[in-house]
Amino acid sequence: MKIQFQSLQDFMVMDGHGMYVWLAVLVSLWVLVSLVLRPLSQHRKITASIERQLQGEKIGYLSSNRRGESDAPNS
Amino acid sequence: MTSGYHSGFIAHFSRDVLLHYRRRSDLARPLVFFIITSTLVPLGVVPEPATLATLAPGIIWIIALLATLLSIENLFAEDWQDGTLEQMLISPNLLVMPILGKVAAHWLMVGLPLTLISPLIAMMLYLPAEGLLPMLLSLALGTAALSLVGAVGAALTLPLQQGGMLLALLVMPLYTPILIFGSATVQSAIDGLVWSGTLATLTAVLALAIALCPLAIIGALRLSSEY
Amino acid sequence: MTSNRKWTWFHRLGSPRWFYHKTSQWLPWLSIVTGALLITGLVWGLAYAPEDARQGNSFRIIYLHVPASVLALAGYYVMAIAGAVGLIWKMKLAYIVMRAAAPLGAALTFIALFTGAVWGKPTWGTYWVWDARITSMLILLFLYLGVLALRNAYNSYEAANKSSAILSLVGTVNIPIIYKSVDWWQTLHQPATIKFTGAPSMHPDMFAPLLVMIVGFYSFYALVLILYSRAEVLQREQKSSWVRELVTDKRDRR
Repeated sequence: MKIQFQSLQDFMVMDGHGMYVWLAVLVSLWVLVSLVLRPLSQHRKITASIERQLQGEKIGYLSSNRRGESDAPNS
Repeated sequence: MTSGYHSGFIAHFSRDVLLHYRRRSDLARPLVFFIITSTLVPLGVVPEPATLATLAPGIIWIIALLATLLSIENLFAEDWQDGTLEQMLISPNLLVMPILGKVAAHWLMVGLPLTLISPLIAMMLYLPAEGLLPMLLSLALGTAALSLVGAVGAALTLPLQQGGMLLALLVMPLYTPILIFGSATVQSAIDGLVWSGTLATLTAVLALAIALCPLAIIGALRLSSEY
Repeated sequence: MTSNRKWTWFHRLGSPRWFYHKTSQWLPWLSIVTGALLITGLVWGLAYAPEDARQGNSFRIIYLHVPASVLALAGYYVMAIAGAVGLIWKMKLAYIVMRAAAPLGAALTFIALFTGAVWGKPTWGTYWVWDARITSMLILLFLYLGVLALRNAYNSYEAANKSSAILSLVGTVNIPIIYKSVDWWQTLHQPATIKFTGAPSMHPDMFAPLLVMIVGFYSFYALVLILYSRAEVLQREQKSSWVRELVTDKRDRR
């Protein structure tokens, strides 16, 4: 099994078919990478929003406690 | 009380036929659509007999398909709104029969008339004579399958506002085999080949649809009644 | 309850919390395996595999086109089976997996169609040809889009899940019929065409990297399915105590 192309130049051009092959490769890779990145960023956003919610609840709890009112722990 | 296996079928079949018949003017709509849209073909393409004859089997089938699609949207809508659907769903009887009755009624009042009017369209589009009988048979069987599969789409989009376009999008991919086998039956006959095999395949697709579509429809209707 | 112990593993499988924790352990390994397979397969196929006698170097697109097609089709079945499990056992996680499978499958179908079209130009001179495979792929894309459209049309989460599950099942039954009918339709009109994959007649040196890519794509599919599902699990279970603990733990560890 040897490498089919003599040089990087050859590899890019692929006897004239390079444009098609690399177009297909690049678009496919772009889609595949997006498929991985999207759920990861969603995950991060959801975690962040849950964190903010928890912060908000803690502050609400503390501030209502300070006033000496007993609050229901969760709404 | 005669409650045989088929009584649910006959009861809902006759009820729906009567309901359709009471609005006779509505029955003309798919037929008029069929004729008017077929007229668009020579206007949009070319009025030349040779070209139209090549296109005829497919075009006639496609327009019949669209006419069926347009008419199936409200199959369950009235029953859903006036509570008949709920009654059907909670009744202890087999639900498959009423559903098959409704769809059969739809075929009788839409699909069959489309089939019977197709020779007129065939003439306008210069369909060769050999194609006429296959056209009638394939449309008769095919529109029944189209009604069944279309009913699945109607049931799934029942609670939605403006479900019409969505219904079309959902159902069109499912229609492709029916269209392929239907128009190929006609085309084979025109080409001088044996067409009974293709017609048999279409019949098999119809049989499968009769067996399976009611299950999907029941699931979708239960869902819609809860919604 | 009869045979309770036998079914606990199955119902534990349906617990979103169990799923989340188990996949947290698997993810690193799965990512490495996926990356390794895909990179190996792609470099092998693009640079080392011998070029095709008839098609020249453009045939190398096969190393993306075929795996994407395989997974696009398999993915529809994953979606439908997940939907069926959700309908029958009313399992939340099953619906979550079904929802994840839909955009994933649609994207893979798009890759299959795009690479197929690009491959078609040097091979047949046009970007589009009504080849049986490509036409079936296009119809598959419409089936996926239909499921997505139906899901988005419903406002209620539960109703959206149930209806798209039913539609997926209807599509599943249809797919073999569609493929067979398109295949048959194609033979009517073009008796002999260059097939996109002459798999049996492929030289082993060309076939081996293809196999690697197919396995790699399966691995990729599992990876992305899990990623989407985890995000959705967090979203749906955000009010529950285990999620809150998870988030606070993560924050404290930072």
